[in-house]
Amino acid sequence: MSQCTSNLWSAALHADDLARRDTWLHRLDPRTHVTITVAYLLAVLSLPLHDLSRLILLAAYPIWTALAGGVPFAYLARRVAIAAPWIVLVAVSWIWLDRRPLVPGHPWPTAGCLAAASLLARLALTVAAASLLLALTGLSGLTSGLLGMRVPPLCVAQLWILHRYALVLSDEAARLLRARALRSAGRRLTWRQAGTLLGQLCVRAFDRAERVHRAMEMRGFDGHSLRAFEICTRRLRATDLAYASAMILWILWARFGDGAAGLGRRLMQLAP
Amino acid sequence: MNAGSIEVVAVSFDYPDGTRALRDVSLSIRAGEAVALVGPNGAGKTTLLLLLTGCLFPTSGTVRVDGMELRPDTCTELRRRIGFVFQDPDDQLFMPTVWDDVAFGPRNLGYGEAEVARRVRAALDAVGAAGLAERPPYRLSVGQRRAVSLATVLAMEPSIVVLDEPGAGLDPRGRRALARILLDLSCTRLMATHDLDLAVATCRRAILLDGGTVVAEGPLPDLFADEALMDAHGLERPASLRHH
Repeated sequence: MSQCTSNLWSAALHADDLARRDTWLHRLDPRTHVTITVAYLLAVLSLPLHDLSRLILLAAYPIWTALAGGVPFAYLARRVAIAAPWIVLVAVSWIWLDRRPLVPGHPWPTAGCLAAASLLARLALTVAAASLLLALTGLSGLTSGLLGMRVPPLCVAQLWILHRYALVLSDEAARLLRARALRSAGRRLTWRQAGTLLGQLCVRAFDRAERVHRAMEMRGFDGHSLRAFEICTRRLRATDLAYASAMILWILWARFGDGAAGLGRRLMQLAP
Repeated sequence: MNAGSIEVVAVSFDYPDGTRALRDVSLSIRAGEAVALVGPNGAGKTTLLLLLTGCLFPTSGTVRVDGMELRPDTCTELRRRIGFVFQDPDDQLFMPTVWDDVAFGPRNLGYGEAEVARRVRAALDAVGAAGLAERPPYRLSVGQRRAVSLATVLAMEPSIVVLDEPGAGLDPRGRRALARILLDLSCTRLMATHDLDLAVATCRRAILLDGGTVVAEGPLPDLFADEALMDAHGLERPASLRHH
């Protein structure tokens, strides 16, 4: 848990650091990245559950973006690992629930295995795409882009407050766990202690969030308008439009075209 | 009434658990004054600051800022005039960059980007943090974060600045730098602090609070020179006055 908390914290901080890099991808308008990411997420999530081949093709987007934007794969892997436990539980349950054989006469692999692999691939691709969006725009770029795309300010405020609260929560968790570790004499965390720490965490995080909220209120934040955030209103440049069009066309081709089948045929030809 | 005056009349405050934090507190601060609010732990200093800034409202009594009574319907207007620097800079700084954080208040006040930029530059210059504008707040030292916290409030150009333990966690150099910044401010200042040397360096008058009531107030060197009074309320004569 301690490791997970510190990972969450460092990953969150790392995203803002990565967003300050100066690559040609970082120089694109945040709205371009938001549009491409939304199209990509829709493409991945709308695939039938057992369609693994198209997911493999769609994996090219995060790989390309990470390479072009100088975003380390370790950063993406850490983000995926943080989100993984919940999805892994669901994926494992699919293996248990759906034991129909994929190839008649062979008990393995089952349809459940394929569904589990597909779920894990979706997890990796969607979390990687969302993390790349944050790493390319930063939180302030993302909020200005969303507001510039006329997303309701209340939704953007929710996103921003959620991000801020996650940092507060992980920061308090790290402090509690550090304090416990220093006086634990190497003993393992018991369930009873974990329960106490969780209760403490809720109370502390609530108190801290309240202080942060007070500080925001003292500087005119009313929770309804987002005047404190820059709104992206400049005209999109030709490079933004060209890049967004190219990426969306590629995503549509990967999602609906026969690229996956072609890839399969090419692999079969290469096989001895 | 000049901009920057505070008047507290017979204020009492009870927390929801029944703890009486303030009893019948009355005090007055003139525009442009620099006042230190001192007292032992649990004296009610932070509660009083929260009442002055409309984060809490008195159980009884009246708080007036620039002659305007503090009520739920007036606190938004009063918060334009009174800036609160929190004890922990991490509570105060929540935006991705120093510039965004300092601009947060002016933007919420509805100013255009040119005016926001002017205020942010002026506030960062005033605290000597102009070179930190693009840095993320969590990458700064405690002293830098303290200075930027003050800048977030100064950018709103308040007539009163209220500071809660501004010297906490600062090394002597950081404390001297903070004292210089505070001395350069022309607005009214009320500073709750245990750091009596910082109070001596930056304030003219002190108010001693203990057990939720005002025990003494007066010119600062005279009040702190009274060893019996200081001792009775858990304080010590500051080092800077010991040679007197």
